[in-house]
Amino acid sequence: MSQLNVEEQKVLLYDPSRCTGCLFCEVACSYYHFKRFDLDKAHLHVQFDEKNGEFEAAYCQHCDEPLCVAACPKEAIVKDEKTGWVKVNPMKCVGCQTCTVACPLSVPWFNMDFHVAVKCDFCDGDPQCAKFCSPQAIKVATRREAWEFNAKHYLEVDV
Amino acid sequence: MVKYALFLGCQIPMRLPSIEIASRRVFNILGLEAVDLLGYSCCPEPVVSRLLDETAALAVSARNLTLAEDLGLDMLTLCNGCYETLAEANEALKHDAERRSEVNTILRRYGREYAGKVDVKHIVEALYEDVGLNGIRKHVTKPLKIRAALHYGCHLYREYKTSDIMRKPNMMREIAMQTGVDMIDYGLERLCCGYPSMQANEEFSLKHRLLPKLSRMRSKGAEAIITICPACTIQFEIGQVMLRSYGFQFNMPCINLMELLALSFGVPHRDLHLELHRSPVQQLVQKVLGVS
Ligand code: SF4
Ligand code: SF4
Ligand code: SF4
Ligand code: SF4
Repeated sequence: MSQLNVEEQKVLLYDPSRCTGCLFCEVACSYYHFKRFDLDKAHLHVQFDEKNGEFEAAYCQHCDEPLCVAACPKEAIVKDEKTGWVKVNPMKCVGCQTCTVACPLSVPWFNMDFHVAVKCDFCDGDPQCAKFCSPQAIKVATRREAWEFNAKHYLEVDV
Repeated sequence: MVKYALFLGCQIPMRLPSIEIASRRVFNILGLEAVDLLGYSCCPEPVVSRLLDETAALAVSARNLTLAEDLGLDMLTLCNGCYETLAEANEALKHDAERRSEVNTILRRYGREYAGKVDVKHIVEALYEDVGLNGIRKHVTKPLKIRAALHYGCHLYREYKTSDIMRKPNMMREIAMQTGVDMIDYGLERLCCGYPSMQANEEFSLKHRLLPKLSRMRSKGAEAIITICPACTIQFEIGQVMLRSYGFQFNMPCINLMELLALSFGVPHRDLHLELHRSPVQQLVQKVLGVS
């Protein structure tokens, strides 16, 4: 896989300066996957710091070198070479929960109903969170755009 | 004269009729002709209905759009939610031929078809672009000396032709400023009122969305909240009552931008039936205008 194609892969990108904290993203994610309006069942979480009035979100980066994949003893998490999306195969998962702590953002979580780990699956190409975000605080972008934005925003450097 | 097909939605005529009364008075004064859209249905609601059945939701929106198309008019919405639903559906129907034909197959069963000729406008766009700030200001005969905090509402940030999410919120702010209010900046303007998370988690919605907003507004000295969206208005009004059971006392009047305009244009407050509010709007107005 050439570097160029990786850069063109689609990922999620969150800009806290546009977020309102409405949580439509979480509502949409939980309904799409579990047919429930349950914020605890969303694969992404938006946090609002009431003291400083700041927003932040924990969502899957579909990492280039995913720690969740590396940590899984059952090879139950696979990164698709072409799309770059990192998904759990519930048929292989034994529910050890290693991935839930290995991911630096704690994206995978243990689903008590199914006794397997679950995580963001990029909605198979049509991210519901981005679709229902009015200010486009969470949107679909290329990996290149995400690198640039996040480097500027979190590291305060240009890439 | 600028003419629109008026889409009132569900919440305003059913739960907040004072907004409809004020809007009609404001339209008359400003020379905006709003033709009633007879036979309209729910827009439908922008998130849950689309999640439940996207095609059905799109068909319902498309049917509403055909009613405006029959009149040869663009559609005007007073509610942020209606705006996003109808504008979103309109984008999909105008630019995605496959979706349009799928939806038209459904509509034809009811003798309708959408050609994609309608534009959807939010009321703040019509006020700002068609009437203009000068056109509004010249009708202000009773400037309102109220220290007020603005709440724009999440769906007002939806944009299609620009990435500037403050385009419509800034219009709302500037329009409100014409009425003479003393605008209080409280720093949490963008934060959601909590209405969308009410169904999923009531306590979270009240304590972690509504409460921080109200607390900050009050600490900055606001004596009223200005909204445009009926859903946000309901959250602010009923939410304040519900917060009492969690031990938080707030009783801040929540006035709609259209009511604010009507009052500043000198429409007698009795005509506006502000007593229909579930927050002390009537009391505020009596105090500010010095009437009883
Ligand atoms: S839907 Fe968008 S604006 Fe709302 S909480 Fe999620 S990211 Fe923020
Ligand atoms: S779950 Fe965590 S480690 Fe795995 S791809 Fe997503 S962000 Fe990376
Ligand atoms: S919980 Fe499942 S997916 Fe996660 S590390 Fe264990 S086996 Fe792998
Ligand atoms: S892309 Fe889909 S699965 Fe991932 S967080 Fe967004 S809605 Fe949830």
